[in-house]
Amino acid sequence: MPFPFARDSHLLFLTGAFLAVNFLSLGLQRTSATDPLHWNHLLVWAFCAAGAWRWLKRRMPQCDSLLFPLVMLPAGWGLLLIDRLIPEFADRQTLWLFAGLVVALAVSSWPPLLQKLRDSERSLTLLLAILLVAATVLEGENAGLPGELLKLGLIVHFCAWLSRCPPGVDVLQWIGERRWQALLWLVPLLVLVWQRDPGTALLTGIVFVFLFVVAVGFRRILLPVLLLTVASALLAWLFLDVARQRIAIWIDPWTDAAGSGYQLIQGMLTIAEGGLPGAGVGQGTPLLVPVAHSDFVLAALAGEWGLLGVLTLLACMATLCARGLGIAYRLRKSRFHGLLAAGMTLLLAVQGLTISAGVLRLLPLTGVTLPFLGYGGSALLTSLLAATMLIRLSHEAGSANA
Amino acid sequence: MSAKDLRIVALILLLAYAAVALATVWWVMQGQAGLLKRIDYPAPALPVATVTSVPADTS
Repeated sequence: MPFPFARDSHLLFLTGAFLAVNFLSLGLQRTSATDPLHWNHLLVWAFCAAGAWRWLKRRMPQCDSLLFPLVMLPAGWGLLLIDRLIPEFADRQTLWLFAGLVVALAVSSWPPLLQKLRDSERSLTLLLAILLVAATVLEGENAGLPGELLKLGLIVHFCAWLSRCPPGVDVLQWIGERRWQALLWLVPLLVLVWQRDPGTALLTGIVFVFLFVVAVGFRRILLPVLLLTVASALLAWLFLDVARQRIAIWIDPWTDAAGSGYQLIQGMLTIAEGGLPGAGVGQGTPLLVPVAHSDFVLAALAGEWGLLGVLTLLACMATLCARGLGIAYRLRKSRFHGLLAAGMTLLLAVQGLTISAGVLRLLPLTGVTLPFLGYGGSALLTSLLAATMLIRLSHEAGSANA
Repeated sequence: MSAKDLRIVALILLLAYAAVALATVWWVMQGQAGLLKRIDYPAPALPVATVTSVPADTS
């Protein structure tokens, strides 16, 4: 028996209803409840959802119908949370959602996109080099957009590089013959570390490792991966102050509860206070967590929507991950398409996991944002690009199977 | 690219999601059991600009 709300339009409608109730609840707690600007965020979200849904139905009719609602729920939830936490930032994030969705859909719908990504090796290398230089020159907060696009570009380029191995040839042997090219992949990661952005380097590195596992085979690469992980952790501990500090906070935040461990402890307290149902939107204490709208948005969500809210979000993220890897499986005969689907899924999944695990003290904090939810226009744009590319690949898989 | 390797990657990621879910349950249970209270870790030299309310009792 099919699930009664299995249609994507129904799921989007349910998401819209959930957001409308929460925006109304938030508005009633403010004196400016009738302020039209407050409702603009929901209206823009609804316009984006409806417009993009129609676009996808027309341009990519064979796409996986579950993916788009799985993107729009956290995106809308993120707008609501930012409106709750820092209302003055919500307009900017709403604009980024609109612009990001337009750009991402336009790029992903471009018919020769996949072929260009696979074949334009020199152009892509040049573009990545420019992004790397831009990220280096604009070090700090300004490096956001080039840094985020660099992360996405590196993964796409890595998939294209791995897919160049001719069919029937052993991938590990092929890489062994090109060991200098393989080592070059470490350069952008080292530059990111040098720029004191170990979170992005770690995230990209983990995605690279998983892509290696998918391309080469788990058993053959297990030992090198374990050695690489131990060596990277040791090097980070020895040479990176920021990594050492984050590991120390992770091991014991309580010794410096008023200083370096303050953010992590306040995040955990907010999660604990949320309980099972949460305090309700606008009723929790997420503002006690520094930078809750960015790094600690999961703690803010847990405080207001409780364990049920977190589990709902994790279920969405896990479903997106499972569907994405399912698309990679269906596209495995075309190595580039399969790897790209796996790469885009891994980018979203690993990013979500690393920051969630950091907030919950399962891992040291990495400083990346929760995809679609955390504040940050360039991060949202990159996540939307990855998601729409995955939707495009699901359309390719659906067309091939039809 | 084999189906088996994709399944292993999917399993690793789904187990990681399960670990994150269990960690959330753990911290919520700590709060419910009264083992993690804001009163024990009040806001000291706060990043005051981000705070609109203070803990109920910091004595």
